[in-house]
Amino acid sequence: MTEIDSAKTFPRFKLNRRQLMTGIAGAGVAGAVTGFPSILRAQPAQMTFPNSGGALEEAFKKAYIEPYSAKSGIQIMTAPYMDMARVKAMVENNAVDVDVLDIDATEAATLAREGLLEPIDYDMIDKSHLLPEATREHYVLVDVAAYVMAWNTKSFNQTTRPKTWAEYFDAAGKPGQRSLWKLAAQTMEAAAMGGGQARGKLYPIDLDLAFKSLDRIKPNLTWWSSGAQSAQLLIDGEVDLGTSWNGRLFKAKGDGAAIDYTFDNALYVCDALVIPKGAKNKKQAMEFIATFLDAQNQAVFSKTIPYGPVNTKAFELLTTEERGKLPNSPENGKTAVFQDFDYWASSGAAIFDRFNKWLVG
Amino acid sequence: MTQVVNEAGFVPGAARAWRKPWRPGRGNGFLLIAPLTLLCALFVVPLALVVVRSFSGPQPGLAQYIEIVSNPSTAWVVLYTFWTALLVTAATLLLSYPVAFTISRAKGRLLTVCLAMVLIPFWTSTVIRTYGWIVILQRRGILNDILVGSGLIDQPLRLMNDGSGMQIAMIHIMLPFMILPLLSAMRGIDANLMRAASVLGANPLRQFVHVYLPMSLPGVSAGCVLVFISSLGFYITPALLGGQRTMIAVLIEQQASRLLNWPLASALATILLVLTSALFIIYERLMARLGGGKPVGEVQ
Repeated sequence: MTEIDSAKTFPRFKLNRRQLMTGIAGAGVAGAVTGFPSILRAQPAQMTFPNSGGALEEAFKKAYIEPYSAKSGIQIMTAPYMDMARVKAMVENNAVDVDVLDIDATEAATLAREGLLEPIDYDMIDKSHLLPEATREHYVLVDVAAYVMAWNTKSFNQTTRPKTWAEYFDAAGKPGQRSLWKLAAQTMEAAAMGGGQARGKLYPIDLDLAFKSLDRIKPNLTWWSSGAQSAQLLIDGEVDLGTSWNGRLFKAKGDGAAIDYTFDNALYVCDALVIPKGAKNKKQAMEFIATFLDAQNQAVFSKTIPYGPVNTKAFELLTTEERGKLPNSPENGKTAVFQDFDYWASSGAAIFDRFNKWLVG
Repeated sequence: MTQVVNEAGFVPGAARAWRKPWRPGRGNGFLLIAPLTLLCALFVVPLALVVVRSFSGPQPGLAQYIEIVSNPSTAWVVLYTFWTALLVTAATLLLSYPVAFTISRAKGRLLTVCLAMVLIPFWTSTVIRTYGWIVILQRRGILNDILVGSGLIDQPLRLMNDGSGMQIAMIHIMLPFMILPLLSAMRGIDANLMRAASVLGANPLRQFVHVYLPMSLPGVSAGCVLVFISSLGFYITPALLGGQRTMIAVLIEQQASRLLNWPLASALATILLVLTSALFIIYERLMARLGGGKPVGEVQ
């Protein structure tokens, strides 16, 4: 409307009450249609999903993010991994700007214990084919990876390699350099099994037994502190026997490195999905999580990256060869054990302290 | 015949009339408002919150500090961190002094090459240099291959396990932080002063101890403070090369982001802050006395 028009119409511009009410109602309808103001919006245009990145993010995109966006019209923005300290700061300052987090399961358990997570709404999830370990009150597992024994094939082969953790921690019986993760979690489990603790009764961990195992291999032990380093130690032959995660080893072995690994007596470690307390799009976040647990999507995921599904129906959609790469396939998972994430959330501090003392002593 | 002229270029008698001689910066204090606001909001306030949090926890008070002092492993880590920082500072100084001296005398192409050799590692990421040291120092690394291959030792050295590898890498990473301040001090030393000392009968050792060394002390003190304080807070190299050993930054990270024990992490950080500040003040006082009243950082 130009200035002249408005000047011309001005004398006629008299509102009665009815016209005013109609106008307000009209503005409300227009607001709802155009998405303004935001409280009238039916669903968010996008949600933020911090995750571990790399190959895992690629697999997440293909298996879960793309199907979810196609179905819901909500765009998923990936973001770098968010450590626990940031989640805590975000929730405590009431500044939650992410919707769903992919996070290490022990960290998810710790956050749950601190009361920093929304409960998972299991009315929106079909639990019937999910692993019983996967469904927790405040977090849900989405994949199964494994902390495994590996070896350099110039030092050991399938017949000479250690079959059990007891042999791994027996430097006299299987001479060679060893490596372990310089962290109490996972390493303590391996060491306890190395001392003879039964895998069925792994928790609470017999710490005395575990530290005795560590004492036995101390002169032949190299510590690693990142996944890349754990694989590199084995590839270079810096250690003859080592621990690492199956995803790292699968890639290195596929690239032709002289290494091999076994799922025997593996420790299952998992990624979990959580919703931080105070997240804004809870309903959509839950729908997004439900997309992760669908058998079809889980099968796509496990074809892309060697991490197993938590929906057991997914195994039926995979070939024998594809199942062979997965830690928890019926063939590979006979002697493995799940890490007890809640145990670490409740007892972690004391064990970390004792582990640090052992390192110093 | 000899008219004394002071720094500002005034004859002393005349200078007395000028109570406040002009100095760069006088009257321009308002320029500091922006950086000070930024520092206060983003550095001083959060730091104060860390200190406050260290006295909170399940029971407010000194509980976290008592825990740190009474827990042998934590106390040991604090001491080991200071010992390592001290060792790294001393070793870096010993290595850097002759290098900086040579560079300060170099000219033309030699100067360019020497400076490039100091600066290129300085601009390279610490992570990359740390991984480089892993390749050299590991059990089947280059160093052990040479030592074992030449028959000097029978068993490979385990430098990656006892913290010595970490200290070697830290010394390397810290070298430019020592060389550059030394160099700037040494380039300001008039070579004629050494010649004058020589003419007056001082032997080279005496020339060095009584003339050159005192004049290079501002560079020494600036370099030492930089290296020592940086070494205390080192994270990447101790995390990757520490082996059996743990430094305080690694422990703080563990408490802050893996165990979510923020009061304890804050207390560790506060100890680091207080001890560092105390050492810095002591050192600066000492240097002011030795170096003719010129504290670190003062424009010469």
